[in-house]
Amino acid sequence: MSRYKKENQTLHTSLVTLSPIEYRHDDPDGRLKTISDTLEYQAKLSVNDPAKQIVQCCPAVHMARLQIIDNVIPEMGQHPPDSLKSKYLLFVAEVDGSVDDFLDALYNGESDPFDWANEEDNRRAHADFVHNVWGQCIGYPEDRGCVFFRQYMHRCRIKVRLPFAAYNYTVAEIHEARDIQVKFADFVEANQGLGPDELFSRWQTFVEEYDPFASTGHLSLKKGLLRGDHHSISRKSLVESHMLTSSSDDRPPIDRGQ
Amino acid sequence: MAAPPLEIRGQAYPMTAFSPVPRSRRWILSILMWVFSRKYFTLQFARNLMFIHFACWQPVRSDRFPRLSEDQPEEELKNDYFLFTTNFNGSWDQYIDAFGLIRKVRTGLNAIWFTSKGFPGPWPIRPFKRYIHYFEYELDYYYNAYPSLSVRDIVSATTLGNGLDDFVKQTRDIDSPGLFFDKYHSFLSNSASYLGGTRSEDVRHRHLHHVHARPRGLQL
Repeated sequence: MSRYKKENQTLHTSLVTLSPIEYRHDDPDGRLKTISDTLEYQAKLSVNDPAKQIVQCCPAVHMARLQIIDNVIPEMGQHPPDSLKSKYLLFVAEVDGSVDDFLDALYNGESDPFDWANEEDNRRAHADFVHNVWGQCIGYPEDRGCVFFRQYMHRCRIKVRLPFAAYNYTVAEIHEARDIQVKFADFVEANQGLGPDELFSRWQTFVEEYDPFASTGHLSLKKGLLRGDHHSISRKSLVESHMLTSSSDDRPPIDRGQ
Repeated sequence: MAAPPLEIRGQAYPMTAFSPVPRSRRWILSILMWVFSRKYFTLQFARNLMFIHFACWQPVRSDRFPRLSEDQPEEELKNDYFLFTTNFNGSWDQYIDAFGLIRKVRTGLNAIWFTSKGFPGPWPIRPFKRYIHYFEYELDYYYNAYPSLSVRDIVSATTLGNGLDDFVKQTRDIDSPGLFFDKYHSFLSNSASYLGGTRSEDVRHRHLHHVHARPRGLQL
């Protein structure tokens, strides 16, 4: 069985939400500005210090975007033009597994077993981010807590009718595959032109270094070498969680083909 | 409110377009979405391109914009809207060019987007580009978990990973260096195409795109 197998069982979910922000023109409570400032700060972090981005701490996210829809763009020449009465916050994310798990991670942050000291700060930063973004939107509950956040996001969710994904791997699988590929490429480059004995000996060292026949029977990087190792999510757990949630979720499967 | 230009690290470029669809074509769009979302219809045209990571097409009905408070005024839009979000490799122009120039993609696009008001079709390319440009929205924040990887990189890495697994299994009981040598070189010649640009130095030098989102409401 191939390690990175294409399966019909989809592991990805496309989450799209549209949250109303403000309908008054002058933004009297500064809601729009708070959201805009928060996103601008995160956008700067994405360049200057990517590891500190809030979304970076959600290991199941492939790609995500946030944008303020301040009005619809009317069709060319339409008179009078279509116009939105409220401004909206569009959030689109491609995530592994269930949306609820992702939303919990977005609200609480993912606990880091190697850095307990910053656990509370991390948790607070995530909750503040959610409060400064969705907390500014219309209808967001007064109470703080990931349950309320989850409920709110489901109220804003737009059913995705036609999602597309080019591949069917989790974020952890992609990072792992890339790391193995790079290590192997380095090995090939470093050992060009060797004779059979020397090559055989070095290959055995290479394979041992990457703990080849661990419980999975696959070539895998030793713990600690794998980027985001503590964040990795197993395919099995994702499939199980998806199967648990799929009965109550009417979203269509993401098309992947074979 | 104009957002600042967004700097995007890596190879994926995000695009969001929100185009109007006459309400009278709502049912046609619903049927199309239903047909395209069936399992037997694999959106193969998009997969063959090998540069789209993820994409979503979804209609938003004029009466389905979320209204979460009694105070919030109800929207009174004349049109439904068609939301298109995508994450792709390369530049905006390359992406749109591919849509216009590749016949199968053009056909697929025509089928999905012909319900949108004023859609000129993906060919000729200039009106099509102007159309997409006109309805495109600025991004305020974008995140990519693997910014240095293109779709081809991901497919190469996972294909190589599978091959390497098999190779390790096949060779783990081999005692003869000579036999291993032959198998190793045979595997290497089969896998060479999956190793391009993968040295650790290359990976460390992730590049930075400066993406200036297109202005809202561009007048043509």
